[in-house]
Amino acid sequence: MKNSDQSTNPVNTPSISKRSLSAHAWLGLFVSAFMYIICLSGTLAVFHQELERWEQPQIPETTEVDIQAIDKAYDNFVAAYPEDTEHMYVVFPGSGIPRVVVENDHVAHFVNPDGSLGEVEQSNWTKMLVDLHLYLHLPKSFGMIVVSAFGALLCALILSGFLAHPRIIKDAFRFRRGGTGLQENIDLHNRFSVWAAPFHIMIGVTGAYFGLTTVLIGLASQAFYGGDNQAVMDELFTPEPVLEQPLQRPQIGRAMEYISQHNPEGSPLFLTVHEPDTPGQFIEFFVKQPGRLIYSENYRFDVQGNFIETAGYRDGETAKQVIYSMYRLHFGEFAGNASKLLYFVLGMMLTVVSATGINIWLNKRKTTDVINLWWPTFVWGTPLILSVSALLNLFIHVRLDLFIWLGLVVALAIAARQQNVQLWVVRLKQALAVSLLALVAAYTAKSGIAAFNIAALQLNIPLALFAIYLLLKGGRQARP
Amino acid sequence: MILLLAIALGLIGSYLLYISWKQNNKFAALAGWASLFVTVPLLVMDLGPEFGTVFALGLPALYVWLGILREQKTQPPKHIDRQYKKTQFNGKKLLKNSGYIVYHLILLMLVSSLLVIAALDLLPLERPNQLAAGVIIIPLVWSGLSFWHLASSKTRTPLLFSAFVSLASSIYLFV
Repeated sequence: MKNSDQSTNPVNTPSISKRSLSAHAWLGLFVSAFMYIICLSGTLAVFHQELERWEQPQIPETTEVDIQAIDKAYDNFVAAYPEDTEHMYVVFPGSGIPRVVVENDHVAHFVNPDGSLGEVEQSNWTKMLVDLHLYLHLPKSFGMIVVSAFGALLCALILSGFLAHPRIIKDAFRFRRGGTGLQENIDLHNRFSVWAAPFHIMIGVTGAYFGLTTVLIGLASQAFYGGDNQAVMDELFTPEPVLEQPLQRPQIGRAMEYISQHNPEGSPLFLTVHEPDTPGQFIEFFVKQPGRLIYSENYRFDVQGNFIETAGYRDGETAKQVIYSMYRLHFGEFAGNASKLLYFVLGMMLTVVSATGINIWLNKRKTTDVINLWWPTFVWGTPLILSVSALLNLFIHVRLDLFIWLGLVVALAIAARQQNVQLWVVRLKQALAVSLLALVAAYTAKSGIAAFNIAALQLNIPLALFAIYLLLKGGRQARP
Repeated sequence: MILLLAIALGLIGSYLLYISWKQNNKFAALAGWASLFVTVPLLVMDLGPEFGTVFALGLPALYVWLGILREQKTQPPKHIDRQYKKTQFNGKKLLKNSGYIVYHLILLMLVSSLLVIAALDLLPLERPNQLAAGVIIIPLVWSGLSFWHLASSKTRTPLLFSAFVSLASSIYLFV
C-alpha cells in the first residue's frame, strides 16, 4: 500500500521507479478483480456473434438476402406482434451472423428462406456475457460508467507499470519458468504487458469512451448548450430527419434496392424503422464499409423508400468518423476472423496480466492468508462458473447473472476452508475441464445433428481441446 | 502476397531484436526495428490504412514469442512454506483506501473531464472535433492524475491541483 508519509528530503525520497511501483501495486490491487472479470468476459465476447450462433445451431444459415422474403417476413412479424414498439429491425447476414432476423424492441424471430417467421432468437448466455463485460451486471447507465472508469485506470496502470520497471528493456525476452512461481509470474506479466502495450492502451482509451461519453455530453451540454443533451448528440451523431407523412407500411424493398445500386461494395448490417406507424417514421440502413473502422454508413429513407440522406460517417467530419470507429476498434469486429483472433489473443494476454499481477503480490508476501486461496479461486472459478452456467442454460432458464455472482460467492466460501492452495488450484482446473467436456457432450446430445454444423463445431472443438489440455496439465501438476 | 511478406518481415524483425538483446548487437537491433517499421506500410498497402495500422501495432506482441520461448529457462519446482496469518480488519486503512477509491474512480473522472473540456475550448477547434478529441484525451489525463497522486511523495500537491483545476475549469465553463 502507498506510504504517504515519505520524507521530502531528496536523499530519503524513493526513486521514481519505487514510487511508481508503489502506485502500480495500489492501483493493481484496487482494480484487479474487476479488471480480470472485465478482461476475461471481453476476451470471450470477441466471439459474441459465434456464441449467438452456437446457442441456436439448428437455425438455417445463409449469406443471401432475398428482398421479397424480407418484405414478407416484415409483414408477418407486424401481423404477429401488433403491439406498440419504438423500433422495428431487420438484421442481415452481413452483420456477422449468417442469418436473417426480424425484431422489435421486445422479441426477435429468425426468418425462414420463404419469408415465414422461424424460431424466436434466444441467446441468453451470450447476452449475460456481454452484459458482464459492458456493465458488470450493474444497472446499465451506472455500470457502463464504472466499467469505463476501469478503462482509464488501465491506462494509469500501464503508465505506472512502465515507470516502475527500469529493467523493462533488459528483460525484454526473459522467461523463467518453474521455481516458486514468482519469476514465472513476473516474466509473464511483464512480457505480455510490454509487448502488447499499444493494444492495451487502445483498449483502455476506447473502453473508457463508452461511459465517458455520458459524462462528457452532460458537462458539455451544461457548458455550451444550456443543458440540452440532444444538441451535443447532434454535434457528434447526425440528427434524425424530421418527417410528416401519411401512415403506410415502410417500403423496405425499395430502400434495399437503392443500397445495392449505390453502395454495392458495402455490407448491410441491419435496418431500423424508427417510430413505426407514426407520421415521422423513417427507414435507416446501417451499411458496413469495407476497409473502414467506422461502424457503418447510415442511409436514411422515408416511409415510401425514397432516399433522404446519409449520416455522413464515411466521408463526413473527422470527429464523427473517430467517434463512430470506437466500437469496432474496441471489440475487434472489423477484419473478420483475423481481427477477432488477434483481439482474442491480445485480450487473453491482458487477462493473464491482471491475474499474474496479484499472483506476484501474493508471492512476495512473507505470510499467507485467505486471499492466497481467494485469488486463484476467483481466477479459475470465474471461467468454471461461466462454463457451468452455459451448461445449465442448455436445459433450464435461470437468472444467469445471479447464478454467476452467487456461484462466485459460494466458490470463495468453499475456498476459505481449503488447506493446500496448489492442490485446490489443480482441482479447480480439473473441474473447469470436466465442466467444459460435460458442456460439449450435453450440447451435442441436445442439439442432435445440428451439433455437427459449423456454428456448433467452431466453438465446441476449441472448447474440448482446451479441456483436454487442462486435464493433461492438471494430471502432471497433481503428481507428487 | 504482401500480407505474407509483412508477417515474414515482422517475424524476422522480432527475431533480430531478440538476437540484438541476446548478443548486445546494435546492428541487429537497428535491422530488427527497421524490419518491424517496414511491416507498417506493407500492412497498410494490403489492408488499408485503418486495419493495417491496428494489425501493425498488435502483431509484434505475437512475433516476439519466437524469441521469448527460445529464451525460456525452466527451474525445478520449489515450495516455500509461509506462515499463515489471519486477516486483520484495519478500519483506518480501510477508510483511507475507500477515500482513494472515491478519488481515483469518481472525482478524477470529473476533474479530468472538466479540465479537458475547458482546455479544448481554448483551442481553435470546432465543437465536434473538441468533443471527439476530449473522448480520447480524458482517459489519458485521468490516468496521469491518478498516477501522479499515487506516485507523488507529497500527496497533497496533486489533490490541491485537482481541486484548483476543477474550480478554475468550472468557473470558465459555467459562470
